[in-house]
Amino acid sequence: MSTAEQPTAGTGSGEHAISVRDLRQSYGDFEAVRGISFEVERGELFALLGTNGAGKTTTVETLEGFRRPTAGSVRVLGADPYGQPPELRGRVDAVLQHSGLFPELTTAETVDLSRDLAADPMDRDAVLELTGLTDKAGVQVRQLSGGQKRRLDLGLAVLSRPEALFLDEPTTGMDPEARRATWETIAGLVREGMAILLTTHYLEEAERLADRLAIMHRGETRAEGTVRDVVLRWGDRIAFRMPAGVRVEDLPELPGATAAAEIRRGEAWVCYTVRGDDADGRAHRAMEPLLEWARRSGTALERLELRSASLEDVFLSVAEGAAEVVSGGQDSG
Amino acid sequence: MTTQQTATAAPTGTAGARQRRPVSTLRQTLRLTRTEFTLIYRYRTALFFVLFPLVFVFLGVVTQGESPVPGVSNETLALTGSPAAIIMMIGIMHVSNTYAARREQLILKRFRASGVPPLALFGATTLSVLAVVVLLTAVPVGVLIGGSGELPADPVMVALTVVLSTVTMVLLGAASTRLARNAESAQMISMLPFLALYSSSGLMVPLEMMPGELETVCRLLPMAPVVDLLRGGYTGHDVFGGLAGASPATGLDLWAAALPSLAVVLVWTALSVLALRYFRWDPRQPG
Repeated sequence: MSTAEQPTAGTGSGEHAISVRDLRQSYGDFEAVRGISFEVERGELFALLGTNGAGKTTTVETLEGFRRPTAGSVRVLGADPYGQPPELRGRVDAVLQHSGLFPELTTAETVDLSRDLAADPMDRDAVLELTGLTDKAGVQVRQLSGGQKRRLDLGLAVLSRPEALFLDEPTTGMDPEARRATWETIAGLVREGMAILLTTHYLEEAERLADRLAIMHRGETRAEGTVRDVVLRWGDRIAFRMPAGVRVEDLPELPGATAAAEIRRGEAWVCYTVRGDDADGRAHRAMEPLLEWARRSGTALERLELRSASLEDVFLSVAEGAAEVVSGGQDSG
Repeated sequence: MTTQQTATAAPTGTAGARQRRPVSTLRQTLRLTRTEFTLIYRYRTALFFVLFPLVFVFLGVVTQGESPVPGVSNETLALTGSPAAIIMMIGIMHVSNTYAARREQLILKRFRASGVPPLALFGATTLSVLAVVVLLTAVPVGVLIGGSGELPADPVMVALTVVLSTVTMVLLGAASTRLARNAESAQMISMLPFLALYSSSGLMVPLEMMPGELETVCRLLPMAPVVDLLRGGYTGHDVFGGLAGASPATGLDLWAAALPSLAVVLVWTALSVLALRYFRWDPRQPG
């Protein structure tokens, strides 16, 4: 993460580079976005994660100025982005969900066109090098691979060096090497002071790049904060195979933890979720009385495990939480 | 915090600190026009749409029969009206096809997202089509001049009509993509207005052969007044009340007679500009 070397955010007017307040977006009866809020500062990358249909792209399209909010408000560099007003031209750019390139133009012609339309653009060679397409300069865009087109999209979006940038699944279709190179490019842009909103399916991408993130599901934000915050809030997990002859009621109360029984590969397991403000000490404090209980009752805690969460755990629990919502159960938060 | 001096406080080299002059919309329009020519040249379907209208010129050359206008041959009437068919064909059919395809491929949306104004995009398409129309119009004009030495009586009227009707047809073609889901359906959908406009233009059937009400409706549609203005401006005849027995007219007399037709053309140009308010940039959903 680039938090350490990022420049002081909000230099100048002190406003957020991107802000979303209680945004709602409806298509007819369907509410795609149901009241979300977040801010992105200059020199910061904010990631929106979520399953398909979570409302990520609708949110980004609202910020790009293609949709008017049904309710709530959005601001980009202090302005209402709807209809791409002149004061934002050249200061905002985007990589859309799919490539938007003329198939009949060559890579170099595509870069040249965007350069000529932009004020004070990067050199053509610099853009080609940034996108790793120097040896494809004379090739028609239709002959590029999906990943190469994606890299070209990014090159076109940054050649004007915008202040705010929207990246909608920018590394889709890239091989691992190209993805890593793209991550380095994006991290460099954030270091230069760009405010970036990223949507992605790749959790590793968010873990690597995001200063803060939000996980969306069905139009709502279900978790938000730094990767560390989000993971810590989800809690640590203490789990073991349910000892023979022990009922759930017999299990001890652990400080800051809630117990649940679950089935793993046909076996009954006990899983404690440990939450609490003392993120560093909470697992230890919960584990101590558990071991004490086991010693006194002569119970063996088979396959005992303690693990802190990964972003994937949080993501999956948010996605599964929705299944509970559908079946009338409760939201996991 | 608010009184901070940005000149000294702004971190050097950040995106926000640089001053730059935006590229003017006119320069963007001309740059995109250049790309339009490249695309027309490389995209074979476009080339077909652009060259196919010459068929209408050929139809004009082989036209036979007795002319309703004394002193003006049927061939001349057909050739002077043929630019209208060229404009319709390229404007409505070619533009709706390419715009639907570009919307589907997110090309238009990407330009908008990077701050290219709609005026530059529509302007570039209009300019490129206008250039092709002028080029193709040179063919019937060349035939007229080469064949019988007939020069346009009022070149300004002819040129103004070509420009206005090209703008109208291009913008209506772009606006019609609102109704189309993709490029294929845009092509199908654009056949209807093309056929409607062609049959109401007076090129296929002389308008005075139609029943009274139908003739009135046709004269209020965009193409019939264009054909009248082209024929009247080129031949120097007052054809605006009908071809039969049209008498020669020049200068102010011709323009005075042309005013109602010109007014209809201008109204359609204005409507085509307004129709762009409903243009869709995003293929995903209406709005």
